[in-house]
Amino acid sequence: MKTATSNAEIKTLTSHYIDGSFVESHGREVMDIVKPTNGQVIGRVTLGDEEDTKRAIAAAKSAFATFGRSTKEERAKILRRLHEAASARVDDLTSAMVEEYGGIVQFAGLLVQSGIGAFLAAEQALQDLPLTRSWDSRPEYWSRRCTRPISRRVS
Amino acid sequence: MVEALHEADLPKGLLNVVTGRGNVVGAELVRNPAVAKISFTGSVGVGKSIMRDGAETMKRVTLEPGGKSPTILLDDAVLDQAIPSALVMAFMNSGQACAAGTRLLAPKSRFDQVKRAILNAMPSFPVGDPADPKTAVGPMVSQKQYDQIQSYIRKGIEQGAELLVGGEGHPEGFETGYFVKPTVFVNVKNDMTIAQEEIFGPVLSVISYDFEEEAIQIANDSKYGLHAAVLGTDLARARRVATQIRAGRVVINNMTDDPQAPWGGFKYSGIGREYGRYGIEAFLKTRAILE
Repeated sequence: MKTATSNAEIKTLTSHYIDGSFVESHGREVMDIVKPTNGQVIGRVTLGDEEDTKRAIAAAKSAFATFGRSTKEERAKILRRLHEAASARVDDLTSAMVEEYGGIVQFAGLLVQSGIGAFLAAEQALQDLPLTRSWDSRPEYWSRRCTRPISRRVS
Repeated sequence: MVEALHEADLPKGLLNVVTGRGNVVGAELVRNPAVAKISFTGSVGVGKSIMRDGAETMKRVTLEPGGKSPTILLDDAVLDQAIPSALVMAFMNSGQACAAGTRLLAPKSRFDQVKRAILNAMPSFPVGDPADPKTAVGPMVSQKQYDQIQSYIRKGIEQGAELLVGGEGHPEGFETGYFVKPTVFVNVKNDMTIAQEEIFGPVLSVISYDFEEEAIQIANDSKYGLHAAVLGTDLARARRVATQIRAGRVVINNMTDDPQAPWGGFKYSGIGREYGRYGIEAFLKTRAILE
């Protein structure tokens, strides 16, 4: 396996984010991150495997047991917190895009802004979206047409 | 990014990020019965396999597998504005964008003017260090992507398209790294490989048309339908053309975005929509309670 100590400038990432914490990868495959302007290795990432993925899925499933019942307002708060947290790192996020895939700085800056703005846009869309609709089921309409009770018509 | 989002102090397990290969981590997500929904942006091939393999556990999917977006230049367009706008759409993110406008449909009656306008505008799209704010086109993401662009440029030449700007190889002064030459082909036929396949690099195909109807027909003669643009002075006419293009988004006169507007494709450009209420609805299921 390649080592991370051969060059001090090489950044290594060996963890995944599961259940609210950064945890060491179970998968052991290492991938080089290459800077596209000069072909130099600038980072090494340890890749996850099926086991890491299963752990993440299990964490999501158990979060959903309670989060699945959360209100619009609670979710709106979460989206606002995500917006705030990401906003604090705009410059870091932009420079990572320039460094890691050679994104041109002007466009990368716009992409980061629009990504961060997406949290607030999602909050807005959530607030505007009616989650329930109801209408008069016109019982007289059915009673005129049904010769049998409705409970037996629907099988 | 995950470090940043960690600070939002979300309920545990709400956000999980596993970095890995699509055929390892992605395949497990698609296979796992505890996952109800997959939302994917990437290639057509992987999109198809997600849909096929997800069927086993009745997954719902949103897929965004790219595009080959047309820019229709109407014959009343002001070229000094329209051509730079068309080039911005062609070269956005160095051409590595699913929405990149990589087919420019130009009226035959103004073809020479269009070619001159492109040549005049190209100096505004310099290749350079991506960290320099003056740079418009940076390197490709990888050696593989560099090689792919070269092979498409070669194929364009072999199939008889005419090089107006650019071509094979590195731009002068950028021999290291994955820099390519921003390239414009003219006299392209819509059935050529460079007009049909998503190149994912700064390669524009200019195709001529005689009538508006023909432009619409060429625009729609693609397996993709993600994004499109209509450039012209008469807005009512531009809108009329826009409504006949089979694409998830059509912009009129300039590249623009709206975070509440849906994003997604027709045909091989995908299934489902992202953003705004459409994006939320893509994650909802409907339950009716009757009494």
